[in-house]
Amino acid sequence: MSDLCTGLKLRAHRFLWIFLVASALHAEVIDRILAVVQNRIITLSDVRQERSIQLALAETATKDDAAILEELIDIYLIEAQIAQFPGIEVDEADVEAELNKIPDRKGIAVNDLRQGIRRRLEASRYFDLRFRQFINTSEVEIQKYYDEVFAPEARRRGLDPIPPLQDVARLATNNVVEEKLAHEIEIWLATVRQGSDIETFD
Amino acid sequence: MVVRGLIIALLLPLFAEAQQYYGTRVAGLAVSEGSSEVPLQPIQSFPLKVGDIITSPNVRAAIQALYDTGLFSFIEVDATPDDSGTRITFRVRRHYFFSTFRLRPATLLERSISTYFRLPVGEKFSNATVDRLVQDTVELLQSEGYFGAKVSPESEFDDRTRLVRVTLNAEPGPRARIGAVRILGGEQTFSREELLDAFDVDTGSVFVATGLEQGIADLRAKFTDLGFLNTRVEVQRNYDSSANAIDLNVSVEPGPFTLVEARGYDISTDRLRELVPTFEEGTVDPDLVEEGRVEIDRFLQREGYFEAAVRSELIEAPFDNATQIIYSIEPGEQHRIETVRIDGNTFFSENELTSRMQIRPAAFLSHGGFGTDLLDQDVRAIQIMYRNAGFEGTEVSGRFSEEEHVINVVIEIDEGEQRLVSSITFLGNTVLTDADLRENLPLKEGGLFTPLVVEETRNVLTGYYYSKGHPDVRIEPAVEPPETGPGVRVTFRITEGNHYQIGTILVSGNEVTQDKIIFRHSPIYPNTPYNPEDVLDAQQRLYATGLFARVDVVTLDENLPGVRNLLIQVEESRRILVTYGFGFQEYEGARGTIEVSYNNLWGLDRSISLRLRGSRREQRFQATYREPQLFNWNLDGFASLFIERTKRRSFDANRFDFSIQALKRLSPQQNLLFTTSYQTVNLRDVRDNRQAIKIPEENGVIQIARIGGSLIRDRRDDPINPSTGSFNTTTFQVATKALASEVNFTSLFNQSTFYTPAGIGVVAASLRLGWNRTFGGTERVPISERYFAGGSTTLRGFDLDEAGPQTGGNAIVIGNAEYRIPLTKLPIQGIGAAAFYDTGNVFNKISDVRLTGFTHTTGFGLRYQTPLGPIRIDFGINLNPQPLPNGMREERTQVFFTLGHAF
Repeated sequence: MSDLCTGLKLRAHRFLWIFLVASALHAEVIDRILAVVQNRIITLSDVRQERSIQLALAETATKDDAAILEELIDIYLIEAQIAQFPGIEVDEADVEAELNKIPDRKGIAVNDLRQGIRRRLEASRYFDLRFRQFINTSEVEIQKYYDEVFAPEARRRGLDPIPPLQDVARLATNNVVEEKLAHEIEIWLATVRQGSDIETFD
Repeated sequence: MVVRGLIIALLLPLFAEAQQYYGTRVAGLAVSEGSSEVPLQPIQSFPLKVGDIITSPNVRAAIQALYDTGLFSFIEVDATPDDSGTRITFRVRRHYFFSTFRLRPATLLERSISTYFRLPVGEKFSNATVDRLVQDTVELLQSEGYFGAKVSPESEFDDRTRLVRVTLNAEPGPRARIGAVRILGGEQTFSREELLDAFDVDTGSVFVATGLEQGIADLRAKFTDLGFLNTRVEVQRNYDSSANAIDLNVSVEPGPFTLVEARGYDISTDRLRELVPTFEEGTVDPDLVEEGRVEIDRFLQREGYFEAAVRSELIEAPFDNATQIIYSIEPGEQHRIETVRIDGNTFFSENELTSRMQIRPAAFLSHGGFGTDLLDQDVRAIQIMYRNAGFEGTEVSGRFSEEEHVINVVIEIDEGEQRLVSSITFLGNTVLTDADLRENLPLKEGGLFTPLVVEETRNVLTGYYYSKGHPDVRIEPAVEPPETGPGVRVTFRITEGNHYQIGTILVSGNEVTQDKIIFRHSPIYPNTPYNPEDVLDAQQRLYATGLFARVDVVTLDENLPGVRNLLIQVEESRRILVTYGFGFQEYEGARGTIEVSYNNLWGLDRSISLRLRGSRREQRFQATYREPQLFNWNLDGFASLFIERTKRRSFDANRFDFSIQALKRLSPQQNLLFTTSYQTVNLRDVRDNRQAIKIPEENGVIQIARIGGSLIRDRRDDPINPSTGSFNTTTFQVATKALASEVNFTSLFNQSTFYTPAGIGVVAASLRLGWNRTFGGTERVPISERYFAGGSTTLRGFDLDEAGPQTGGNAIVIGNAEYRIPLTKLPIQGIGAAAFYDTGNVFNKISDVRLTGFTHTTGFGLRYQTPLGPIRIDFGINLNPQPLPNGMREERTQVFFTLGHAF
């Protein structure tokens, strides 16, 4: 019996050894194409880099690779649109100013961060010209925002007294504009996506 | 213990991230596709080499470099540890390319989907493109009434050719029907029933988008015809998915009532509608009113009112929803153009100049054309003619004189000097030398300079480069005066572009036709220079076979340097065709034909057809088999069998004929036909004269075996209604006992027909000569082989077969001349007239042919153009009717009603 057990153990070790050696020698994917957008490739390394930039810029919470890939696709589509729209220029001084605001670059190369910031500033300029300047707000909309969003949030945070509308009108107006802008961009982006050549690879 | 530690150590790599390879050295590089290794493309400055330190940026750059070759749709980088570092393998997938697209079921739409929207044949495969096609197909099916349509794509990848065949599997669901139809608006002018009748889209009928568009157009036209221009008709569709029906709400907004009047000269309402484009356009605007004024002015000019003044006035009465357009006409005196004389021309003939002029002398049914603005335009046109012919310093002036409403026009020309080409220079050429380029150029140093010849020369040079495989060549001519002396210097600036060879040629879409048939008809070959003209020629030749409904010859969307791989994508035509027709001829009466043909047998472009034709005097059955490459030679072969029963004026005959023919196409206009045939003719009821006196020895069964050839040259611009060109056919046949024929004779026949424009019409002339000769003991050519004349296509002063000897003759001479003109002044389009003269006769033998034996017929006729040819009524007058054996005279007049020209 003990001979059988020893034999089985040895065989198990042998199999485990072979398995581990084979596993160690197995090729590993270190990078690949994840998507092609209008003949521009997005790789796994691009997604990782974008994640790092977002972390450095303290942009929203952790997302998985698929979510970041979708965001990169959007960025590429926006850049393609910007290329057809003259007059979108970003001052390098503005890029540096944003760069200097970053407390912890988290080991990302400065040029990569600059590129990330430049992209965001260009997109922002583009949306300002394309959409923001045409957005208007009405008193009804601002009142609605105050009643349905600001006041409940202020209550939730324990603010007492809740600031009146006239004290926060400017903030409310800005937020309404931002919401409208986000909505316009969402619709526009959906249309651009529909007309674009996008290929993703599982 | 040792084993446990080893296991842990070996397990570590499994849990480490890919970053462990960054910072190591490249021990080996490979590119592989599937299980096979692909040679690493010689990419300039590949970002990763053996011995480099692996970093994320240089791996990324390597992926980009491989992608930029255009060869790969997907790239993945694998890393494997090695003793000396890390082995990097780029696993790639090459692009696939779209080839054939099919919709299933295939009968769902009236036409192939390729006729509805552009298909990406030859383009790189992508799922996004397939998704877009699916979307387009769904929208198309919805527009055809399949509102619940679902389409699922199926892509078949061919690893050998890297082509993808896409099948769009449609589940169309039931086709929607029209639900309720409501029309709002327009009731003040028409009743609801009249509006619904005009819309003609009924509740319960199947929804078809084109039917709806037609209904909208018809409804709009109903108001436009009544003078309510600018009428708007809009349809709102409401789809009820539960009933699979579409309710239509049609809103009609009649436009203002428009009255168009011509004052000062009487122009009929119909003519006014033709001249003033507001009715055709269905709208009123100042531009259209002005266009109407110009057209009325031109109309008056054609009527001879050369000094006519036409003013237009647009009066709007918005409260009455009405508009009035008044054309006030002061016609002036009616004139006639007596002469148009041209002086001073030597380079261009008078005909060449007058054919480009708008001013014309008076002619039959025409006062001519004149106007001071037309005179100015003609002067400018002549100046341009001379400039285009290379003349410098040309002066052209026009003047006219008028006396008692008769105008004479004189155009005086001082031609100036023709420029010569002092030098021809080429810049930018490296592939072809100057000597190569100068060969056979239309433009020559020392020769005449004309802009047209420069353009021709540019085209010839472009053709040279195309033939050498430079499809992107650009050639820009520049013309400058020389530094010294007269003449011009012509410089051709050449941008040669890249050189391309044809790589592989792939074929797809052929489900029946064998590849070799397609390659046979397309003159493009692998490893030859890529010539876009050859590619276009291949496409045209494939269409000309009749085997394909659609042919695309495209370059695969690869980025291979110096190579273009081609794809011939075809959609095959229907193989079984049924055609039928009806005709009429004065002797036969009504005639019907039906033909069934089965094409592309065995995928080898062979065909068999069965034809049945019948009238009260002739019934014929014919079967024909066609072999396109007879004995593998470039000859079309035909085997044909027909059985015929015919009743002619002088005899009846039952005929059985079997023949084999070989057709050699010498050029697009010239064919050579060899024929050998065996015929059994049962002659019955042979009659010598109208009293039906029979000739017994002519009756009975005769076997005729013959061999012969025909040369056919057809240079007509239009075989059904020619206006220029010629048609010539010469046939020689020998019937001989050596071929088992019962009779020996030769037959030689020639028909030559010419057409030329003359004035407003066409002059057509024809000459037919025929000669039969017996030999080897045969006394008489059988009556079925003799010549007959008389009838609507030969001598129109005689009824069918009534000219010449009653039992026909062995020699025939027929001459015809006809002047055909369109009658444009009539309210009905397509009507024409003709005046003709026919002469000639049939003679017993060639030695009997003499001018004194010729008949003479003159006459006139009317024609009405149809897509099948003109319907013709001819009145023929026999100018010298001869006495007949029965004591009567030949009839003087004949009337013929038939389809098609006489010749």
